Amino acid sequence: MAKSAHDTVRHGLPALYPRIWRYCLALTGSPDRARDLAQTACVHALEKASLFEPGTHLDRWVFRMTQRLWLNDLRAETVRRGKGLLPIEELDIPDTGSDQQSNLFFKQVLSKVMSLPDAQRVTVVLVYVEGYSYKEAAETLDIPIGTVMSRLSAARSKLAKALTPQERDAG
Amino acid sequence: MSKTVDYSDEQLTAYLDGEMSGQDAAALERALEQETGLRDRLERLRIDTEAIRRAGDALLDSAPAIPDALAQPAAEAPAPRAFRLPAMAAVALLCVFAGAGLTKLLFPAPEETWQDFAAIYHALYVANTLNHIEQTEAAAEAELIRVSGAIGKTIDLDELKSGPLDYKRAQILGYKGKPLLQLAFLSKIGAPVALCIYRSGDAAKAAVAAATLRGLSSATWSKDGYEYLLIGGTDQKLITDAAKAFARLI
Repeated sequence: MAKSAHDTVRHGLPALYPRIWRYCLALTGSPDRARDLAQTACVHALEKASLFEPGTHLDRWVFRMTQRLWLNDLRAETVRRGKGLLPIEELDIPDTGSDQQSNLFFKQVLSKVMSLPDAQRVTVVLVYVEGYSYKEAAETLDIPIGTVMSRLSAARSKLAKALTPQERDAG
Repeated sequence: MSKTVDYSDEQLTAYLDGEMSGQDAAALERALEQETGLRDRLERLRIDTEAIRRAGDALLDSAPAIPDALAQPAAEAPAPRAFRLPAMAAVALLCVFAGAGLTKLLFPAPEETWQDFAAIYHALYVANTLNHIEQTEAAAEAELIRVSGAIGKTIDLDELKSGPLDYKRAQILGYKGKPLLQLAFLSKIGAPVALCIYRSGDAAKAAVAAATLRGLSSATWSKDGYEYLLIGGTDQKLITDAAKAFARLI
């Protein structure tokens, strides 16, 4: 049993890795920290693999673990070591690899999402990017559904102001 | 004057996200027909979530390559050489996402040792994996007793703290169904180092031998039915010297 759980995690992580990294980007607000956190999260997932229940969602399990790891251990450490969080202007959102016009548009949308406060940003990514339901997002983030709703409504209010009509209508 | 329910922004958001029950949504729609103020508030919350989803998906192309160690075959799961469908699917995904690890997956090394396994695993460690760990003496002591007991050994905390490496934690990993003890340290320059101990039951004794495993400095030795691996960083002298000290103490 334990072995099959371990295999499920080990074989599932490579395909999941880009999404883990994206989630880490939402948590940390920086591509570099996202890379480190994604790697640490994978080590953690492998270590705890025997606790994974095959047949349940690996992505939610890893995301939940990653978020705890970041909030409980690493976030404070990052701040303590003087690597302050954000300066969002300095965030270099990588080229997304599609054509130039949609590239620019995606970058604008992403930079607005990335400018949201941490808690709102990560909730937006889970619900609007990952497509999680409120309930799934609440379980992943370990918060009540009401908090998911208030974060999303605050984020919507900010984004609706920030995105120009063109950005709002395009796509 | 018709009296309507006062809707919060949270409720309006839930409506826009399709998270409101059918009955409540119908009631809200009736209220929206009657109240301009409510309609304005709803519009002020409206965003293009599809654009956010697409922008987020485009971001996946920018994800860094998966660490090589994660794309390695598991030592404890010797996959049959025959190409199985799930394996092929995994390979296809790896090609798309990482462009690496293909040959390793298709042709796993037939005889992987526990030291290889531990090295692959250790290659994933970064300073951040360990540097947040601050244990009290008592907690570290209790953890060490519990963990070293799994391989039938007693290890003294002072012995681990006596060298140049900063001791962080002990944990039990597994290899081929048997416990593998991992003691983690950080070097002075922040390189993660691990002392791994595996009960082989083989009485053969071997002196400390230096080697490079997966690009990491390492040293192996064995005595009294246990095999040892010290691994981490690229300072071979540090690892060999520390290994010799541990070989005397433990």
